[in-house]
Order: sequence, then structure tokens, then C-alpha cells
Amino acid sequence: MSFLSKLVTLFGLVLLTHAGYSAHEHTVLFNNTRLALPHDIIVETLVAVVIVSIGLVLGADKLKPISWRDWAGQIERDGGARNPYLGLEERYGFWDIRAQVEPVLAMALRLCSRVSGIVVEHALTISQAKRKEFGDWMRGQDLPAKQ
Amino acid sequence: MGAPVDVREINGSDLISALHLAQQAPAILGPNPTKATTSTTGTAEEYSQLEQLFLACLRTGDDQSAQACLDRLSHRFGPANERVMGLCGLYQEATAKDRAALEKCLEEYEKILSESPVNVPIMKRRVALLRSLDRPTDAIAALIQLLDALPTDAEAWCELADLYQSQGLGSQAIFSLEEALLIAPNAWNIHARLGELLYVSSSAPDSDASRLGSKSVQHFCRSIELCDDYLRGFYGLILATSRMLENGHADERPSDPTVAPKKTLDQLKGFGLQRLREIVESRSVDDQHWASSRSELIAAKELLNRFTSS
Amino acid sequence: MAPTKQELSLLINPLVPEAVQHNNRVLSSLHSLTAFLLGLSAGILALQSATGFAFYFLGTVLVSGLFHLALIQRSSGAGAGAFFPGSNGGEIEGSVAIGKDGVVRMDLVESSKKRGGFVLRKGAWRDVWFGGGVLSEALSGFVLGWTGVGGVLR
Repeated sequence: MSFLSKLVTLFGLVLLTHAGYSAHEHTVLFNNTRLALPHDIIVETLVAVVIVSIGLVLGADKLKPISWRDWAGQIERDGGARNPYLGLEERYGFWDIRAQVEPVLAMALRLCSRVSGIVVEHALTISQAKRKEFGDWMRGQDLPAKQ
Repeated sequence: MGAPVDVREINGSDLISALHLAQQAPAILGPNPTKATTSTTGTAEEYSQLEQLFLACLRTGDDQSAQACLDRLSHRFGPANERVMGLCGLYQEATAKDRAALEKCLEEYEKILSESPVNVPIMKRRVALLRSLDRPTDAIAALIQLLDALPTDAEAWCELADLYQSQGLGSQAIFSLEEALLIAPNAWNIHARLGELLYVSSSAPDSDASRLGSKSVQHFCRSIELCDDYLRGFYGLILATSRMLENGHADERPSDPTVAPKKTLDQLKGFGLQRLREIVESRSVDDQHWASSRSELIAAKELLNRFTSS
Repeated sequence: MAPTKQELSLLINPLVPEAVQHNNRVLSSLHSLTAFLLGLSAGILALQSATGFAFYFLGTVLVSGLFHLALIQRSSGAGAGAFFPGSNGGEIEGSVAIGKDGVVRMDLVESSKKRGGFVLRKGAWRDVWFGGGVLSEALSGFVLGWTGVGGVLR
């Protein structure tokens, strides 16, 4: 709900409350339910209804397109990570984990080379080292405060 | 779990995001990752996030965090849970030091399967391991066995297609993907994949090029119909139609009614080029947002350049 | 048995069930909120019997009209068909049929081509105006507010 719609709804509710209070006082004052309400209270109520309706309509949740192509297109525009059929191409159940590790090493090297020369040197040594050392190094990157 | 990156948004194929996720493992798992938490509560979503984290950690070589994830999962669901067993097998494969250790994993799987023959995650691990050990024929046999027991598993059909393709068996791969499409008829990426397979098969010397090419065009068209502005679909459509036109497989009035006439192919190619140009223009405006699909974008630009220069 | 037009429409242009549910939820929550509000106003105005129900229907028409306007404006002209499947469950306006060669062909109606090739769905406007529990949950909410306020105030 946007700020504008909240404001409009709140204003309409205040009007409605005021109208309700006026109607109540009017009834108590004249002690007669058959007597018609004054016009200003009626108008105030109707205006309040219209204003609150506008506020609620404006503040309603955004609708989602129901066409498959619109929905799928939005997913692809967001990078395709939410694609429910991504699993059919990734196939986690059939993951060859040993083939997955090497490209990440290469990627880490590329990332590091942007940071600094020292890190590159470090990365070059770990790329020749074993997986475990690389794992320890990865963890170390996150916790510089503890070292 | 106060993860700064939304774990659900992680694209599995994207190495950078996997790396980022794995780097947060110590923060997500807490200060004492080796000790499994005693609580057995938690939503299903939390546990699927934990599974994702486990995979990302294994992938980046962070075995210690992966072990912690696995401990939590098996603490919650019990070590006899089929999915946990599958993950456990994955962990052992990843940490296996040599070929002998992998063979031992395989024996382990076979032992489990002799006790419970339809343990699907373990069956899948076995196929993957056989493939990893360069035994594709055994892997295919095992996969067919799995599909006999469970013919509605689209993931397995796709893996079978991939295996066949790696063995150069194009028509079998196409059949497998068509089976997968029967299960998931609206999967636009599988339509595009099938289009790509058909495109590759149509370049084989002794193939029915016009029929395969035309089918490939059809599947690319369907993937575009199912997904607005699908870059991969348009890319394939342009490639497939232009090959049909160049190789003279396009007739004004084809004898086979399923083969599209030349005029339609021309129109499709023009449409594909126009839309691809629009997509490339709209996406290169903010490069940052398209970080994960940058290579696709570069390929599309090259294709467009090739057609504008020729 | 030959497939019906609705089945062919769904084949060519599938719907996303999640989005349909979400939209229906948005619509019904809007209608229940406004119905309760209309009930309060009817109580304040001390409307009785048929007048009260007439007030409810007028108010609902107003809200539906506003909602439809906002929807057309937000969807840049695609109309209700972009968000609601319509009374026939997703059947599109235009012709969908299987030809002799076994190919399914779809032709959009003229009015949708003029508006930029949007898919129009048959009877989708009816979902906006009569859907969202206008005659069931929302009506009971209205009666609750109506009698409650009427009893306290007057």
C-alpha cells in the first residue's frame, strides 16, 4: 500500500467516523429514530464511502499477469533463477560434483585478480593445492576479524 | 538465519552467486557450525535453503561447512531419509580422494539399492557416479532402469537425453527430451533445448535435414510463445531458419505439410532478428542487472553483427 | 472427442494458476473490506430493508468500476483478460481450431488486434464485477457492519 493510498483511506475513515458520531449525537439529542438525518451528515457519509473506496482500490495489491508467457518473460528478465523448470537443465539429482569444483577455482581466480596482486598470488598457490586448503581459504575470506 | 543474500534467488548455474552463497556459510551456520543444533523445528523452506547452501559449499570446496549442513539435515530428517542419503552420497563423492574411493561409493550405492530398490536419490547418484567414472553405457542402462520404475521423472528423461547426446545418439536424445516435454509441456527452456538438439542433429550428413530443421524451428517458436522476450529462443530461431534458407531446404510449396514454406521461414527470420535487436538494446542499458546472463547477451550481439555485416 | 475451444485456448496460451489465485485473493479481500465499510455507512444512514441492499449493490458497482479503471490503466490497456481467466476458464476471444493438417491455429479478434495484440479472455470483465465473493462472503460482511452500527448508533 503506497503512502498516498494510505493517506486517502485514513482521511476517508476520519470523515466516516465523524459522520457516525454526528448521527449518534443527532439521535441522542432528538431522541427520535424516525426523524430523518440532516443532509450534511448524509453527504458526508457518501463522500467518505467514495474516498475510502478510492483509497482501498489504489492500495490493493498489484495483480499478477496470468498469461504464461508474461509470467515466464518476467522470470527470464529477472535472470531466470526463479524458473521452475531450471531443475530440468541443472539436474541436481545427477550432479557430478567432481566436475563442478574445478570451474569454481577458475572463477575464484578471476574474481581475485581484480582485488589485488597479493590475493592473486595467494589464489595461484591454492589453485595448485588441494581442495581442502581452498575450502579453508574460502572460509577465511569471510572472517578477517577472527584472524 | 540472517543471510544478506536471498538464498532463493540463487541461480544454480551461476558460479558467482554460488561463490557468494558459500562465503556466507559461516555466518548462516552460526558460530559453532560443527555442533548440530538440538532443535528439530523449522520450516520446509529453511531446510531447502540449507540444502542449497550444502550444494554451494561442496562446489566451492568448503567441506567443513558442507558437513555442518549435512549434520543438521540428517539430525532433522534422520540418516535413513532417502534425500539425506542422496546428499550424504554426494558428500562422500566430493571428498573421495582417488578412483578407489569412488568405486567404494559405487559399491555402497549398490548395497543400499539391493535393500531398497526404488530409492530414487540414490539411483540418481549411481547414474551420476557411473557417468563420472567414464562408464556412459552403464549409466544409460541404470537410468533406463530408473525410468522403468518411474516414467514420470522429467529430470531423469532430460539426463538421459544429455547422456545420449554425449554418446552421439541424436535421435534417442530427441526422443528422451520429447518424453520430458510430455511431462512438463510448458517448460520453455526444454522446448529451446530440444530445438537446439534438433538443430545439431540436422547438421549430421546422413540426416533428414529439412524435416529436423523444420521441427527445430517449430520448437524454438513454441519456446518464444511460452516465454516473452526469450533470448535463447530467438537466438535459436534465427540460426535454425537461416540454415534452412541457406541450405536450400526451404521450398515455396513443400511436399511435406509439416515443413514450413520458404515465405514463412523468411518472415520468422526477420521477426527473430528484429526482436533480438530490441532485446539486446533494452538489456545493455543497465549491464549490472544482467550480470548472470552476460555471456548470452554477448553471443546475441555477435549473431546480430554477423547478420548486419553480411 | 474433439477438444473444446477452452482446452485449445489453454494449450496455446496456458495460465499460471498461482497468479490466478493471487488475483482472486486480491479481489475478494478488496470486496470484503469495502463491503464492511458499506455496511458501516448503511448503518450510519439508518437504511432499512431493500434500500440497504440497493445501497450495497450501488456501492459494489462503484468499487468494481474503480478497480476496473485502475486495472486498465496499470496494464496499459490490456484489460481484465490479462489478470482474470473469465467465466469460461481461460477461453480467449477469437477463433481457435484444429485445422485439417492437425495444426492448431489461433486468430485474435479485430478489437484485440487494434489494441496492440493483447489476448482478450472471454467474460473476464465478469470476474472483476461479480467475482471475489460479492454475493457470498462480502454480503455477509456488509450485513454484519450494517446491523452492528445500526444497533449501536440509533
